[in-house]
Amino acid sequence: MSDDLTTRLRELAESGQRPSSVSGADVRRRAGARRRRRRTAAAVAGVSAVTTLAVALLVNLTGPDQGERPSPAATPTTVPSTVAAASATVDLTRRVLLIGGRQLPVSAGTVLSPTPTGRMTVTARLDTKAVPGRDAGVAGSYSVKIPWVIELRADDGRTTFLGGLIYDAKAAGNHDATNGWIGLEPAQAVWLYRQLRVGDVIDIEDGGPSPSALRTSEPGGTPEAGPPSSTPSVPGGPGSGQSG
Amino acid sequence: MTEEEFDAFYAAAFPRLTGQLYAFTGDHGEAQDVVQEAFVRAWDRRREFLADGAPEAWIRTVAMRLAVSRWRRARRRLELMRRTPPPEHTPGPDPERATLVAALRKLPEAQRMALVLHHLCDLSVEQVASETGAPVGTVKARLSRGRAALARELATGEGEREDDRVR
Repeated sequence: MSDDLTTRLRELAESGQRPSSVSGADVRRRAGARRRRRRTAAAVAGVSAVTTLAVALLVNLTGPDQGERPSPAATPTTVPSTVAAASATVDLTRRVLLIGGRQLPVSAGTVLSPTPTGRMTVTARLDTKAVPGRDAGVAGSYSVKIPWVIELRADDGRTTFLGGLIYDAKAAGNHDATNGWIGLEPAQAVWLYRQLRVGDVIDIEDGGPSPSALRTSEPGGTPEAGPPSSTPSVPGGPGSGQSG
Repeated sequence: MTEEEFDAFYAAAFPRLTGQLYAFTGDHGEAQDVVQEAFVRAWDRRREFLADGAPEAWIRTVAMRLAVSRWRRARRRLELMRRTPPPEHTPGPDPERATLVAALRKLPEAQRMALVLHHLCDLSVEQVASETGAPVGTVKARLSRGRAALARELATGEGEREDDRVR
C-alpha cells in the first residue's frame, strides 16, 4: 500500500508541476519591496510610539497641580524605552476585557484572592491547563481542566492567566468566581486565544476606588462562604438515567 | 548566493515544489502562490536560508506553513468545498488523480502533511517529526491513520458512486 501510495503521490505531484509565471528577477524585486514595506511599518510604529510618549510627557508636564509638581529630579526617570501599546485591557471593576473595540465579559478573583493588577506580558498559550480545584476556586474538586489558557506574568514576577470559565456559565461579566485568574466564556476564550501571541502586553486595571460590594457580589449568596452557587451536581443520582 | 544562482535555483526548483504543494493543498493556484511567496521570503532572508544547508527543504517548509495558515483562514470556505469538490480545471483530468486529490482533502491537515512529507518528499519519520514539531510516535500514528483513511476513501471512491452505497 505505501509503495503504491508513494507512486500515486509522485504521479499526482508530477501532474501538479507548473512552471513559474514570474521570473526570478521579479521574485527578487518583490523581496526588496517586502523588505521596504516591513521596514516602513516598523518605522511608523516607532514614530507613533515616540509621539505617544511625547504627548504623554506633554500632558504630564502641563497637567493640573502646577504648583505641587515635584521637580523632575524627584520623579523617577525610568520611562521605559520601548513603550509597547497594550493589546488588551482588563477592567476588573466593570468585569470586561477590552480588545480592539470589543468587550468580553470576564470573571476574576474574589476579594479573598484578588487578581493581580498591572502590566502583564503573555508568556505562554496552552490549549488546556490542569489546575488544582482549590487554586481554580472550585471547592471540593481535585482538579479542573481549564481550556484556552493564556499565561501572564508581570515584571515583578507575579503571574496569573486568562482562560475559559467552564464551571460557571453565569459568572463572566456578573460576579467573580475564581481564585485570581481571569475567566471568560469558553467561546470567547477561544477567540481571545487566537488573537493573542506570546509577548503581547495586557493591562489589568482595578478601576480605582470602587465599592467593594460590587466586586464580591455573588447574586443571592453570601459574599465569601461556600463554593460558587452553580457547582454542577449530579442530577437524579446514580443509576436513574440508564437507557437501553 | 548571487542573483544568477538564485534565479537558476528558482527556475529549477519551482515546478517540483509546486507539484509537492499541489499534493498537499489540492489546488494549483494555491500551490503556486505559496511557493512564490516562499521564494520571495527566501531572497529576503538569504543568510538564514543558506545557512540551513537545504535550500529546497527550507522553501518547502515555508510554503507548507503558508499553506497551512491560509488554510486556517479559509477553513470555512474549504469545508464547503470539501463537501462539493471543486471542478478540476486541468485539461483532461485523470479521474483516478481527481479521486486521490479529493481523498487527500478529506484528511486532517496534520495527517496530510505527514503523508506528503514522508511518501512524496522522501523524508524519514524522524525528519517529518522535526519538520512538524511533533513527537516521532505521533508522526507514526498520523501516517498509519492517514494511510488507512486514504485507503478507505479510495476504495469507496473508486468502487462505487455515492448514490448506490447500500451498506
